[in-house]
Amino acid sequence: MKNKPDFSIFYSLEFLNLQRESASRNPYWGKFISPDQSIIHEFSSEYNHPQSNHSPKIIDFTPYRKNNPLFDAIVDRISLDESAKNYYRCSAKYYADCFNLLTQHEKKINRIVEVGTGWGDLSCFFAGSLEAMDATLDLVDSNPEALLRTYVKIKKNFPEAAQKVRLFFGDLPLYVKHVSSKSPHISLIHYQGSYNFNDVIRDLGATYYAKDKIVGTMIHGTHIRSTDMCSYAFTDVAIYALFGASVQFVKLGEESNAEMELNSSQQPFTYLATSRVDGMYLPYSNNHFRYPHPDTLLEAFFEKNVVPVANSH
Amino acid sequence: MYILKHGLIREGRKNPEWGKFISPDIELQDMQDPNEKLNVYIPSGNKADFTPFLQQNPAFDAVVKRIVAQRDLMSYEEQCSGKYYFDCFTILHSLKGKINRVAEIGTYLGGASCIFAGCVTSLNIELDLIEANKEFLLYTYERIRRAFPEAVAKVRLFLGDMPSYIKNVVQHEKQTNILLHHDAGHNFNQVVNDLACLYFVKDKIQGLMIQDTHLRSAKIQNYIFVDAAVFAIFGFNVKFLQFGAMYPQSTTPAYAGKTYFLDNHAEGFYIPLDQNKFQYPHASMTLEQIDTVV
Repeated sequence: MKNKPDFSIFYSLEFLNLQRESASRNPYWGKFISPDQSIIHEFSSEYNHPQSNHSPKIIDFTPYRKNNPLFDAIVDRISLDESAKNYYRCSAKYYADCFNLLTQHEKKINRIVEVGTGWGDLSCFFAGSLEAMDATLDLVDSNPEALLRTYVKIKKNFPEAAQKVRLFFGDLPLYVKHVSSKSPHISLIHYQGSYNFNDVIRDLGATYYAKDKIVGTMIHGTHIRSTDMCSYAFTDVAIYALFGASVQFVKLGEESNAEMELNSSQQPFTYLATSRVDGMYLPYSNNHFRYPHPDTLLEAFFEKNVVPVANSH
Repeated sequence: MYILKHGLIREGRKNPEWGKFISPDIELQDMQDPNEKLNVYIPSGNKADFTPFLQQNPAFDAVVKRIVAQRDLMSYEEQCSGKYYFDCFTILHSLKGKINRVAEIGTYLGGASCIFAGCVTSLNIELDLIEANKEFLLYTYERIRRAFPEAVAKVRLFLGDMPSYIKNVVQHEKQTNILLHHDAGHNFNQVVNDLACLYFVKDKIQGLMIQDTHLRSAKIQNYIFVDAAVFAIFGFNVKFLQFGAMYPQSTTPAYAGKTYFLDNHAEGFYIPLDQNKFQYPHASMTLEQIDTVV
């Protein structure tokens, strides 16, 4: 149904900051991890059988078929995976839009960076495009289990792509520091790392330091709001803070005109701010950063939150 | 840098006086400088330059004259631009007859408070000062008492933050029409909390003036984005007036907070509530929910 928010989508509102804090004590934090080593068992004994905490979701790709044979082939292969329907996080239009955006960048990029892999739903679309795009896929997540289950899923559905996939256990600022800024690759980023304002500021703000090697960032859940006061889910507002009010973007996914209707199928409840879309694509060449300040160093993104002492103006 | 003190509210809530009106400290009256007792740290002693805005409005000139008379006697500083104070005065006067109170959230050393206090009698309004730091509140009151003694009968001091003021005071009142001035915590989450409270008393609020919408911190973890919080609450189609100073180039990050002003960005926003809709909080949320988040 058009202009009706899709309430069967589960949005994770967990605090990336908290997750990061515990993950950063792991010796593999900020490094590529190998799915072929025994460490995968240290992270999770269940990674081969991920348990989803939300109900199966059938999404209909039919309206987006017959435009691109590769897209159809990817959908066909994903549809063979019985468990796939358990892990869709986005609308069919969103997957189709991301795919189309990716293919528009053929020969302009040679790497896809997916931050926040969740259950590997979108990752499969990227993985299925790697050969045609002549690109590699770096998965970035602060949850190693998410990385590993996503890898397993890719290997199951697109075994030929697995060798082009790397798993970076960390967050986007670390990835920018250790990978993007040191590598000649030109990347397209997909960000679904967090919907929390501060997290998005910190993660996408760090891409400033590799902006010449990034064609743009696709961001999911820009319209999500939560009735939990502590979630501060304001992704689109963070994009404003980083790129200013005149930010240029392409809409991704479904558009909603519903008046702040609650999705009560999950706790805390979420709703969609009016006239918002599933996501936004920000082409970096058409935008400029209003934050961070040009004098700020990337290292500032790794400083701990120190409560300033009174009288220390 | 008090606007960065995340722990201030949490500490303040432990005080039994928190969330209530308090009495002024009469001992301050006999001191040459109230800071002899209060010992408030004054970082720069900077004063606003009102000169370019004089001789445009005799009422403003009269208020400034009485403020400036205190300058050599007291140790305060003013952190807003002269234009900001002038614009606040103009906005306030444009609402003459429509409001019966100015509520100022975050007074610091009374820079804006004195402008408002100077209008209390002529506009026949009350002035509620809301501050999480008791010393600031007492200092501000004493500054007002000296410059505008005729106004103090209309001035109340509330020790608390915006959620506690809305919850304990505004929510229980009838026939109040308030012009709010917000210059409290500048952290995005804190400003969202504060402004979200307005939803529950929106019929009693004429409008909101909010300061430091152009401020940023080069310390990432400070998350100073006051303007972004306005958009989070009212959406990107918010109808607002930009006022105060605007700088052609970003300033250099300074002080412990590494704060700076963003270029081509207004120092303050005025948001008339009757022309805007809330995008946040959701109707299912409660004031209690917000007041308990600190």
